[in-house]
Amino acid sequence: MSEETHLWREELGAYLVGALDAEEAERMRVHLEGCPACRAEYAELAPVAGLLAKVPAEAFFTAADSGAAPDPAMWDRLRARAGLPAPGVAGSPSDVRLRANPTLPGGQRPGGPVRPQQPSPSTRPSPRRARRSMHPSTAALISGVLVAAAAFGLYAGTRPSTKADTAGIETVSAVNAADGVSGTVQYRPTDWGSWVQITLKGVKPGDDCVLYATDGHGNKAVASTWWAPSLTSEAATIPGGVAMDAADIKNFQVTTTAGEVLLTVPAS
Amino acid sequence: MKRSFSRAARPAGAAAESPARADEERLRALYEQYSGPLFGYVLRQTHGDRQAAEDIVQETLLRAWTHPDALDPDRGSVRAWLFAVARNLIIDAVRARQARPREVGEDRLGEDWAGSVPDPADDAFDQTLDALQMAEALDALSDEHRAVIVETYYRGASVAEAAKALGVPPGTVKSRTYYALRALRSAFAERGLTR
Repeated sequence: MSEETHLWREELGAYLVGALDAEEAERMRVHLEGCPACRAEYAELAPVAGLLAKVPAEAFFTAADSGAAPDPAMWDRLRARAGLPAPGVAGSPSDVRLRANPTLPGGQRPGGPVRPQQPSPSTRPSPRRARRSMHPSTAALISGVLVAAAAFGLYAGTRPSTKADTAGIETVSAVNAADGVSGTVQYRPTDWGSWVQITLKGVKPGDDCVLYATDGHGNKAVASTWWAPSLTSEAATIPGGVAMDAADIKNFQVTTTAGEVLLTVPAS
Repeated sequence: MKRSFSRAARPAGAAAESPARADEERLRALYEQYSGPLFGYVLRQTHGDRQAAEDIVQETLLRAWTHPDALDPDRGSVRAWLFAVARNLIIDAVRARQARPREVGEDRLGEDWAGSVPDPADDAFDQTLDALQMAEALDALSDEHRAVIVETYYRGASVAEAAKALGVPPGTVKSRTYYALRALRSAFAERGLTR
């Protein structure tokens, strides 16, 4: 090819990606009309340039990153979708023991989000022992609720789940016709007490809820706390745990932090 | 910031950790670095439909997580790969919405964003070449070729502007653009994607 044609060809690349100025681009159009070789080259490369659009420009334009931030709870939903165990705790059983302290009703919020109005840091369970690892299948159920892990920003390792973790789960349900709240509690014994999980529907959006477990000796312990999801129709599944023998538990009760009883679920 | 998303590049100390833990850290690293930029991009495409945007971002990150070999953080391709995946998923979502009968009241729910995304059938090339292959082909370019394409095509720079940004004469921008397109075409031909 002649040197002149070669120069036109190099110009063709900039023409295809739209980088030529108007005058240059017009010259290129005129040249293409009269040059079969360049037209053939154009026909070959035009689809390639067109394909570049398959990758969004934003991928190369970090300055265009907007301030739009995903919901902080997205991480929990993502890890649940990935089938990863939910945020939990590593270490010995004593590390995860959730102590029922009758002198701190309401102040003890194992498994609950940290709220500004927490009584004092000393009564707040530490993140490391506030959570109980969850089986992936239950983790997958979590949606739209704020769990402690999100509040703490905690994603510490979990103890590997074993077959035994899924064995012996009791499931009990109840409906409160008066307020329209219904729920199902699942629980099972663990070496540190009882794993408890409640799936609840019909709670007024934004309500600050507490799940208590009561045993046959009159002990009442917080199993978990959470905010109700923003949609009343949405079922929320909240994991928790109590330092109570599963066999001793007589009932579960959901109340608002103001003390209003939303639902009572008798144990089996 | 240098981060690792691939199994191979994991530090030796990670060997002592459980596989589940290491997997989680890979996902967390992807999430921390890319969920924000991806969400911003997808949210614009979905006209502010946060639920749809989150679904797409989650799926994008999961695909990256389950295909660690496709991600080479040393070559700067991770971001292009992820955005390409997200774009594919947006198009899938558009198709799903278009295939479905419209529901009463959908308009006022702001869910008609699907109509504004360009029809993927308009793509003037072999449909079998998807965005991921495009991202990989870009990745296979020399740094100089990739940089000139990013400037002229993706950032919309003129030859003069690209010359200034890259610190090379305008003639060099033109020739590099041309040879970058030729290189891309060769990359497609190698993959059997061109006739």
